[in-house]
Amino acid sequence: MRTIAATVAAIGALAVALPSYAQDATPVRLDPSPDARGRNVVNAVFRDYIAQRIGIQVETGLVDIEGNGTAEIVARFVHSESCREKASRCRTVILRYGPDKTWKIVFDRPADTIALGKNRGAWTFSDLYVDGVRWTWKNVAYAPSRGVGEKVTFSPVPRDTAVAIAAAFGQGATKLASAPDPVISFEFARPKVGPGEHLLVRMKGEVACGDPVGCPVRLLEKDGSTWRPILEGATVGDVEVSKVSREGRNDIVLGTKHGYVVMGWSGKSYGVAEVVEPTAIK
Amino acid sequence: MAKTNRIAAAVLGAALLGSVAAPAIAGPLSMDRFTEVTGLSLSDRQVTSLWNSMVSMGTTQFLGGSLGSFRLDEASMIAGAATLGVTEFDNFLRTGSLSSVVNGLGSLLTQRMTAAAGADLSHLVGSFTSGGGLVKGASESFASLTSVGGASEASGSCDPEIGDKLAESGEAYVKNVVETAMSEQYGFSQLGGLGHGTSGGGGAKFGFSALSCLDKLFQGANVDILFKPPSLANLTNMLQSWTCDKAVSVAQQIAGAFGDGNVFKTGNLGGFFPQLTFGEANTAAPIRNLAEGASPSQLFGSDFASVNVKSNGEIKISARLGDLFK
Repeated sequence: MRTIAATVAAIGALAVALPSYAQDATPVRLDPSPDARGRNVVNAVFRDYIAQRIGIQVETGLVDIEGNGTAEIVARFVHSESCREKASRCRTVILRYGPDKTWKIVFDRPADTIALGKNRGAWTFSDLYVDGVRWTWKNVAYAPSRGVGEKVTFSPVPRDTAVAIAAAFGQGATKLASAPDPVISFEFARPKVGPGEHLLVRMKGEVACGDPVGCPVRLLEKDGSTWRPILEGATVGDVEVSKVSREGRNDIVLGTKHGYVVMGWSGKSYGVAEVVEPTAIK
Repeated sequence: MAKTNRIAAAVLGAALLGSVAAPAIAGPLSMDRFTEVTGLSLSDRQVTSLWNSMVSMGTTQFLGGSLGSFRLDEASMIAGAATLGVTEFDNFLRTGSLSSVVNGLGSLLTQRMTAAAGADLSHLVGSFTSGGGLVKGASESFASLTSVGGASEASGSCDPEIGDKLAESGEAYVKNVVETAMSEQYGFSQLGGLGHGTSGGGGAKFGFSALSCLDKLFQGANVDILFKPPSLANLTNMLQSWTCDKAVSVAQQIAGAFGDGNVFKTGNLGGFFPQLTFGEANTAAPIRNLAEGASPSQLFGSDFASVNVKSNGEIKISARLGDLFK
């Protein structure tokens, strides 16, 4: 089952537009045939998932993410419960036969296009390009890379303004910021996310940030004489403003420990549009 | 409603029976154990800093208060603050809302807090309050640190007959919660009192009377005998991300997805999905796909559009603020 090098080498390419940075990647071709190679493994691993969805179409393909001449299995499940937004963006998984002799899910996302980057040598893992986002191998599974938007550059909030801005983070933050020797501080940016004035504020300080959630973030919108929080969240590392906009406001990308969260405008405030994180290996 | 409260009171009473104060090992050994069971690697200085910050913010008023059958102590609060950040943890206790959307955060938070409960960090924070409850993680983690009759006895090793009664009342409780949540008159945010006035330790309790969704979070995550159905775990996962007053709609989603209460009677069948093995492979309900590829409003309707903004969240300042940032 596992050594299917010849098949891997024979995998063809689909004419799918890829972002420029992924031009060396090869789109993964998926076969809906019940007799496709690897299908029996998918049938076994996802027996219940398939059984619970009447009329589901399973597409499978083989890739060699490790460049070692042995195959991993890509499977896509096409069903109303498996697809998002449009029929082509469906649950897509990659199964790898691990050293412990069991099949593990190393990638599991709703995906439209999926392509495999060039392998950079034996025993290294190829990058994946999924709907324009690059996924790299991290320890035991694929994790998304950042860089889906423009990185926000923050500046320190002046000390005498910190108490006022702390109100956006709750009464506890206000109290800490009011202390003679505050253990928290703030930094801000004025990103262009849509009409009106906006302040993006990130809290800093040893006690301010949690593990794994990161540091608290608020996006404030000027509303007359007040500033109204329209996004509450936390970020690990950078904050990015995406080029994608919903109803006139750009998505905000917050970092998580292993991926990122896309916050989208819902008309009144920002809410979670998508969480992009690695698959939890079980 | 009265029935719900009676059942809740009975369950809570039984839970608190098992959380009798017990002497625990203090000092560095306890800190080592804290690190081991929570996975949090905190220095003594960091623990002290977190605690002092919670004192400054007034978060420590919740010390000794109950979240469902779980009782907050110093160690569990340190674990919570280290997980969320100290100000976000303060917000969490006051509002029941988590601003972060990290996958599985609610489970991680409750796991860490319950596992930490019982650790005596008094050498760092200056006090020790007996905490925990009828919570697997807490009692098992610190079983070696507590004496017989303490939290270790609350680890679920109760008389089978009592366990059956608890499970029975738990199922009824779940059913009532859903029924009540679906009513127009009551909602989760109005189901206060489950943990109200029942805790010792001198902590303030008023804050919890309005935070019944936190009760669900803790009960669902830890008191397995009460919340066997995975669907209820989903409910609590929802509650981790949405403000309490939005939970009604979540409950409606769940009730709509699963129909009447008979669906909870799956204990003899091994639960909903006895062959749960491969990641998402055996999960079904669309509710689970909270953050995958669709906005909350798409998934749950326009009611969720403002989920990340507190109703009273406006900052009462400051044209001046805008001037300063120009």
